[in-house]
Amino acid sequence: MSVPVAIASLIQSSAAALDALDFHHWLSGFTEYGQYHITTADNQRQGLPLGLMHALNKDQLRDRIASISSVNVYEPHRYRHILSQTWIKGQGLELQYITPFAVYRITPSKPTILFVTGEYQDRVEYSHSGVRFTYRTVVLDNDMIDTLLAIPL
Amino acid sequence: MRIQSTSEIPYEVYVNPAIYDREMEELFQGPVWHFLGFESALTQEHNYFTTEIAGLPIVVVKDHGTIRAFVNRCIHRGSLLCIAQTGRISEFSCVYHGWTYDLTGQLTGVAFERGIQGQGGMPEDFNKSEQHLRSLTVQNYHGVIFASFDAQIPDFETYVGPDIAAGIRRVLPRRPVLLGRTSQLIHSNWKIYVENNRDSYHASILHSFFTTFKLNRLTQSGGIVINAAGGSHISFSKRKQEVDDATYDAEQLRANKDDFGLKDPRALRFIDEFGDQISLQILTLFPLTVFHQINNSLCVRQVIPRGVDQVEVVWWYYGFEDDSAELQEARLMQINLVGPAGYISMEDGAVGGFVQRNSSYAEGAVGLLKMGGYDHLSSPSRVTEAAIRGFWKQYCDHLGETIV
Repeated sequence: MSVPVAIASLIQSSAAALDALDFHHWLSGFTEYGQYHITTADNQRQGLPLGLMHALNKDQLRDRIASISSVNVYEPHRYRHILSQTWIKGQGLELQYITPFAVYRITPSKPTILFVTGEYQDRVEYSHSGVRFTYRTVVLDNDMIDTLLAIPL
Repeated sequence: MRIQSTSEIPYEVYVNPAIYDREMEELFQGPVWHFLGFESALTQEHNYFTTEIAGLPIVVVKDHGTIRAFVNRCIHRGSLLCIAQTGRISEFSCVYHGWTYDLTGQLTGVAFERGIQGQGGMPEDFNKSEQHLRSLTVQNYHGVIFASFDAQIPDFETYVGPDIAAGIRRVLPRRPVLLGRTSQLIHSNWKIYVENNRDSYHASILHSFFTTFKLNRLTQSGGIVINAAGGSHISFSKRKQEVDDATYDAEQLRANKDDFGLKDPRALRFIDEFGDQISLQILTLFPLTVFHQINNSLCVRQVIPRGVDQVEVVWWYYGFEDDSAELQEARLMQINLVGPAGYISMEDGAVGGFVQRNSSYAEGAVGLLKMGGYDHLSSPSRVTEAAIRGFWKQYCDHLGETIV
């Protein structure tokens, strides 16, 4: 089964929006009740529920964007997502779109670092206005975050 | 380099590799207790897990109900004995040359000890019964495993004192279970991070989120408790008992952004699970352990120095087996507040690096710790740096005032 173009495009444009710090566009990729979680492969394998970010709807994602845009203090930086080809895992209600990624972090006057690698585990929904994430889990390969994780992945 | 006063700390302490070497040898391997993990990770006989103390590999194993900890190093050539993070073993067996040890750390087997056909092998004077893994003193305190390299160290409760011990038992009413673990690499000397944990003055200034949502304002009722040794402390505050809102508004702190509100405030919910209205308790144990309660987020932070200018913080979030669904949801939602990605704690990851970058070129300058006076005593005020001064008092008691 091949990945529909609209879904591949959603995944690509979501990464591109974050890289461009265009959070409004990034938010538009989620349904109103879309969930977003960041965890680690270790936690997921052990069935441990806690990770790094945990949003149960789009309002909580809007809160994340508002907080990192106007409340939190950190050195300005941006990401560069490198995505691998999306593939389909499972079927029916279990169907997920899996996209491996590497994210570099660019901080002015510092060397660019390989920040995290991992995979997106996505579920989506079609509507008249297009396709959106209903459930996006970001699973990081490694436990360690360099300095901090403010901007979503 | 001499620390003449606990209120004036030379920046050199954060950058001098000779100081770091002394800390590794004498402080961390001296008479101090370290966090190793949760007892609940060792559910069955012969379960083990590997961890670290200040970069030294440690293996923790359960044998006949007893929890033991060893330096995870074969006495023969120094290879790691246990490589996986967790597992089950009936003996330690070194992959390099096949030496084996029983779970008390006693050497039991040396491959080809008598050589082959009378050739080679160990000399006659080598006696296996005299050879042991380097073992640590272990104490299981309410489901949390602590260890020390010093066999003569006072028991854990005596070491931290009665007040700090009560603060730990408060957040360990039942056996803790792990809910998740993450780690954060901070580009500063380890002491900048552990000072930050003792710094009740910064919390509501740097962390806008705290102040904006009245999670922790210095005007809330609370206080700090410092133990007699100086290096361990509790900073706490109670929800909804504000004494002077006007003081904050008058300061016009950047941190106080009244125009900012959450669309979904579930992450801020506080369930008074311990029945005392205390919604924030930061508890430090000298030198490398922190227990936090931030609303219903419960966590042990394991501090692992990674060289003179880096420190790793491992966040062990926990709950209890009998947590209600409501409490479990609160703990999950509050991951958005704490940890490497938390609205509250992310800034501590950045600010340590800001101090470190200035420390190399400080040319004899000192950092000032004079807020609240010169003592290191408990107080109802959190507008003080007393707990940081207490850390330096205990630090100098271990290493002397003249560090190098």
